[in-house]
Amino acid sequence: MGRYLARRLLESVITFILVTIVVFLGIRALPGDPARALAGEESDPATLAQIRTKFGLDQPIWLQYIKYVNNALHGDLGRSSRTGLDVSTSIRHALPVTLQLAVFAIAIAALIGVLAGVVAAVRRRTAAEWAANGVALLGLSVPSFWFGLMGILLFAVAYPLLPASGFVSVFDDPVQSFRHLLMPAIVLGSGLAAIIMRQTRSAMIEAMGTDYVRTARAKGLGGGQVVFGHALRNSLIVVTTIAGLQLGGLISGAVITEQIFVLPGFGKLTIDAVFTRDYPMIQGVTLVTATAYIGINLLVDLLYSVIDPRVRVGGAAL
Amino acid sequence: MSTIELVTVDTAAARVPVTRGRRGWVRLRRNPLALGGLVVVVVALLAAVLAGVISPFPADHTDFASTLQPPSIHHWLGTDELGRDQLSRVLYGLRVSLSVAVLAVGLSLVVGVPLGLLSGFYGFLDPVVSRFTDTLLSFPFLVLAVGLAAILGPSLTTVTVAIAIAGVPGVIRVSRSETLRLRGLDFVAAAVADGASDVVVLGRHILPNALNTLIVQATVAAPAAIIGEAVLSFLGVGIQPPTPSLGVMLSAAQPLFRDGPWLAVFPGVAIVILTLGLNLLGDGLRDAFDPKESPR
Amino acid sequence: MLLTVKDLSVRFNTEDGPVLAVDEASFEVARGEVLALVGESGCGKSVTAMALTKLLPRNATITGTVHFGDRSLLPLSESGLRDVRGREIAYVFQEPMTSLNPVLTVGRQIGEVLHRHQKLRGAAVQRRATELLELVGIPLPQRRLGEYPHQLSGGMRQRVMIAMAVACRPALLVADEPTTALDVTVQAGILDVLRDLREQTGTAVLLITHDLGVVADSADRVVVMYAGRTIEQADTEALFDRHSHPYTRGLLGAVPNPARHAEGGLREIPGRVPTLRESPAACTFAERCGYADDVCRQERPLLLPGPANHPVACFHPLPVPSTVETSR
Repeated sequence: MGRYLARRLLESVITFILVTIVVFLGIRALPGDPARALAGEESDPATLAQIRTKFGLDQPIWLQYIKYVNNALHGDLGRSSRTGLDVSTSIRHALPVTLQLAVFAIAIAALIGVLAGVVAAVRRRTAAEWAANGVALLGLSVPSFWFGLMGILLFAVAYPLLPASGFVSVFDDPVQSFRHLLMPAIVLGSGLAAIIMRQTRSAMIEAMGTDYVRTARAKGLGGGQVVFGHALRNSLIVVTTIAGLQLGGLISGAVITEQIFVLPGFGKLTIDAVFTRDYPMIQGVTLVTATAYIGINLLVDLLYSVIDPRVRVGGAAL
Repeated sequence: MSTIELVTVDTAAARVPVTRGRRGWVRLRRNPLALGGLVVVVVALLAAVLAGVISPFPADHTDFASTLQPPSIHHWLGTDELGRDQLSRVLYGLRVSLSVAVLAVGLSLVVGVPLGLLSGFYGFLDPVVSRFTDTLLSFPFLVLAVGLAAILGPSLTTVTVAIAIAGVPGVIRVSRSETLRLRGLDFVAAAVADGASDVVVLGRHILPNALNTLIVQATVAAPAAIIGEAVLSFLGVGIQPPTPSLGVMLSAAQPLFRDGPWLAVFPGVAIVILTLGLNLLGDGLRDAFDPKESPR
Repeated sequence: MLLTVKDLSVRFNTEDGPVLAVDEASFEVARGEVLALVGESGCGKSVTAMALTKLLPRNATITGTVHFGDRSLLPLSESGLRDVRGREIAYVFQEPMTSLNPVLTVGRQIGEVLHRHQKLRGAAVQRRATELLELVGIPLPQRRLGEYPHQLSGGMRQRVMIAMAVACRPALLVADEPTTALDVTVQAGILDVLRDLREQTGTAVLLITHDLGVVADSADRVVVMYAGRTIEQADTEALFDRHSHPYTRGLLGAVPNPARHAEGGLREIPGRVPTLRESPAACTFAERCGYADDVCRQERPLLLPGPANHPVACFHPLPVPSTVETSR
């Protein structure tokens, strides 16, 4: 198992390096003067000169890359050409917002998804299964941003129950935080819920047909124990790893959700950066996103090797 | 002491490839939901193609006398702030969405299938292609698309390319795993034993048998493409107004919630129906062709 | 009599139509005895065993009577049956690797049945579980409790299954091909375990197998099944020496025996076991039988005492041999 993880780590590092190269070159690929791109369109010659020195734009490209990576590892991702603030500072302020949203979304998705999946698997060929399947299908088919718009239409405009926008941290005011994050979290989590529901359902259907479930029944165990203690136990292993791999999609989803509900999070930061051609910010944001993505995937692999005893404890004493 | 075993491959008998395909089509016909999905998709395609013929109004025909009209006999889906008939715009918008979806998915197949076939067939290429797909996957779709738009400028082409790029990793993965699976089967061994070149083996033997799974992958990628186009246009990164795209219509509808709520409803409903149909069809295809699926 | 099965039939409603898996099977198991249920694959023996406590999928229809002790089992509700399963009638299955839950420890899985029927908890469970593992001959039982199934060998896993089955001292142990998936050398060990258990606890065993060697070694009495029907019942020795049904003769003849088969080779019974939709009014073995005539093809033979004084379902049972050529 150690060898497998070491290989995965190596792969992740290689991928990360490739990503940094793409991000780095991406800016350089733009038409025009990179110094102007990095400093902002209307900068004066002094600033431009400063930027040139700072980023070493006169030097060979591979030296520039080293410099860039070096800076990044020290936490310096440059200065936003739109706001003038440090990119890393802006990111550091925006991340907690997105993280709270994401955690809430994952919690909702996991709860609804697993429950619906279990119901659909255990109550096959009943109305409950069709309902659960239908909801999952809708979750996959309804574009989340439209879902969000409809939500706002219903719960903020037509029947003013929930705020249409704004963010309150859960550490500041839990109740208001809940009100502000509920719709965004549901919108963000709906796609994930549908995927979790389907995975749970198919894993459970398979588990319920196994020999060990037959043994459990033969021992006289009741329905609940068989479903939750045996079938779900085994199913969750597969479900968590697959769901974990979907977390990267949440990062994309957050962009739209934050745009619609006006949450000052990482996603909104990304979009604003792109629309205002704020290249240092674009670079920084992309780098952080890609890192998070690679990190999540690596963690999911690690998680799998920990929760499945067959992988954790190793082979048979044959 | 081990002895070398001679494994005889009956090349004549083995030449017939796996025909789980034929049984699959029969099973598909029995699935009412999948057939329903197929009907929806076909109707949508027809509506999109015939948009010019069946739309009551041209998409950009403005009528300042009847702006922001709720749905009525004259305008089944109402009008927007410029008096444009929503039904017509939704139909033209469908055409745009479907063209993007078809082009994007087609493009990702054209790029992804060869890469997947090669990486599955030639072991030394595998890690290279895998790192490539991992890198692609590390950039979440929106960041990629938005970045692309920043470089190329927002347009239909940009959106198509962005969605195609996003779909490539999935296609590579599927065609690679199919190649690996088929490579071990007898009929491939038979072909090689008969002296077929690599190109022939890949093209004439492996590819046709991987087709079923690839079709399923396409029906899974298509709804994502449609939603992707809508999202990008909604964000202003894709298709620009006044070209009617369902996403553009939704973004224009947002500030008009109080005055014209129907403007936000119908384009979304159109997207939902279309993606629902594609998903049902995709599910049906997957169930029909999955060898593990036991009869209910 | 511990277990009385009378006219047990099992029908499955499949997508392609109804399938009759068990056709009015009848047999009895006395307290403490080992009854072997033999037949080819697909003859319905496993389904019969599972039907006793209705451990079959939802599309199965079970008719007939199953008397266990003083109760009739089939009319019981699901919760009533759950009380019987594991406590009074326990099962051991064929594939120990897949029959044990791979993500739960051995101790946990044994503990489940102890908790369910005897309400044991905590340390008491540990103690009893260790005892049981010792009983079935597993070395270092305490360590095994914390291990996972994949860490044990095939033979040990099967012993664990047996330990789980006898945990609550059931009156009847149903063993469905317990040794088939194991190496020959390991098989003997498992049979020994079963034999020891029977001696120590007096548990009756319904042993399902297609391996006549196992039957000769462990069974007191034998019931032969064919195409869902019970066609012959006898003491083990009588079955081998004085069998009456032509199918039984075919079964015995198919057992590899160097002495007997050196010249003629293995004798196969031509044809295959039929899958039935309905119960035909005929002998189901007629097509493959060398002695069949019109009567056999038009009427169903009933299970009645035959020339060797044990029940056989045949219109032309074999005569009792005067000189006996055995094949043990």
